[in-house]
Amino acid sequence: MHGAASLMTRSLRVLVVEDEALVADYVADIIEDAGHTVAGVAATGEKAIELLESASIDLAVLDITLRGPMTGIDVASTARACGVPHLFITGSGDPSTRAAAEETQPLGFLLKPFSGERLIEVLMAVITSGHEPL
Amino acid sequence: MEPRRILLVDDDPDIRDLVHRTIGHEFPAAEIREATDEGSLNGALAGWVPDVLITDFDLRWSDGLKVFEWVKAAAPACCTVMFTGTGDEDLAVRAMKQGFDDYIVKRSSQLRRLAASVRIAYDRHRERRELTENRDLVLKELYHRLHNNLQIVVSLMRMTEKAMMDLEARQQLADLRRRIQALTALQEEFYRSQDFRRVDFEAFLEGLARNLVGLAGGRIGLTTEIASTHLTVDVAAPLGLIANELITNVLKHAFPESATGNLLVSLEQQAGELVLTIKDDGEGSRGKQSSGGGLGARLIERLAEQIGAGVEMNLSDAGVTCTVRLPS
Repeated sequence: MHGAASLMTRSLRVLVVEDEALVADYVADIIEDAGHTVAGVAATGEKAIELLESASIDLAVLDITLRGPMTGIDVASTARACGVPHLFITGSGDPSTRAAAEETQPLGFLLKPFSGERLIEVLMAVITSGHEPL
Repeated sequence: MEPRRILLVDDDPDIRDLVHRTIGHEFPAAEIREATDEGSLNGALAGWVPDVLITDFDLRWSDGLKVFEWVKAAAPACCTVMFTGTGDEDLAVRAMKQGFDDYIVKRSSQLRRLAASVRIAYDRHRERRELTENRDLVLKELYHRLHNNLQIVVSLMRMTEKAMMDLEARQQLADLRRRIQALTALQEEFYRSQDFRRVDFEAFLEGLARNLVGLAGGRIGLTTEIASTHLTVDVAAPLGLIANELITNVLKHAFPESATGNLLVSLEQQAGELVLTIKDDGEGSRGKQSSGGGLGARLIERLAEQIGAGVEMNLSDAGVTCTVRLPS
């Protein structure tokens, strides 16, 4: 939908899915400082899916553990169905979680705590490489 | 919980029959397979992971210790009991040393004891497995919380940094954030190593250098020559922080503003010493000298003292070379 074409341009419309308010603000702030737009912030999977289906989004940044019954991995499946590429940010290095997340073919996987520079590095790689997984 | 798959290895059909009946009576839900030679042992183990092995020592085609090795290779969690009439004290000791859970002398009066022994061994294995699973669960949860909390710390620091009007104070807070990030990166390597005593310092240093140099936005070329090195936590954390200070220093003083240049980060073993070298081709003695009395210099001095390392700094008009020597 919006994903493939817009990724080639410099400015992305990014959906931030993160249940920790301060971390969501941090991610949103880094994205905006780098000249991109935060298209929405969701703390639950349900809200994320609502935004994915209604707003124009180029990229979804997904935490794995969310408030409520859905996980970021569930959201990733919807994102894929909507043609929106995604990357994970997570505090869990657990191999089985990681394997389940990898199955959704994310563009990247950032382990918390990550720096703003690292997130930008991944966003830049997304822009320059199109849909190639990192 | 009872064992569901029991493997019985014995050449004597009468003994197999007796054991089969006794064990079958004790564990009615268990599937019991018998092996009488290498072929039937392999057949029994094909796609089937036993919970319990009961084996004789003296076999025409092998011995109980070898059978133990075969079965353990296919089923590491399997509990094992040697049931033999040929052994003596010496064999009992060998069997227990090898890892058998119990050793029982083959007599009909001992059959009841064999059943009890299998139950005890199985329960002990199960408890151990549950403990391990529980420990892994606790570790996973702790790890997850630690990393989330560290992310909140990093987020709070960035917010505070941005709210500060004073440039100098903001810079100091950014330095603090980078120190914390260096420590968290080290924590990450500890988790990855699955060994909480040692860290892959090569991976850590490579990542640290790449991240810090990345902040300069492509102005500085990075070369790394880092030998495979694993360090204990008491050395890795101070040395990691020293490396963080030295590289940050290069970015600030060797290549001010938009200057370009090269940075070499190397780590090698040299005559009983671990040597960390940070070398740049920046302004060196031509540039503005830092007073050396700053927080970074004090941190390097204190941390080097803590791990018994020597720090040397050579300044020339071709750049600066910093060497940290740590006795292995």
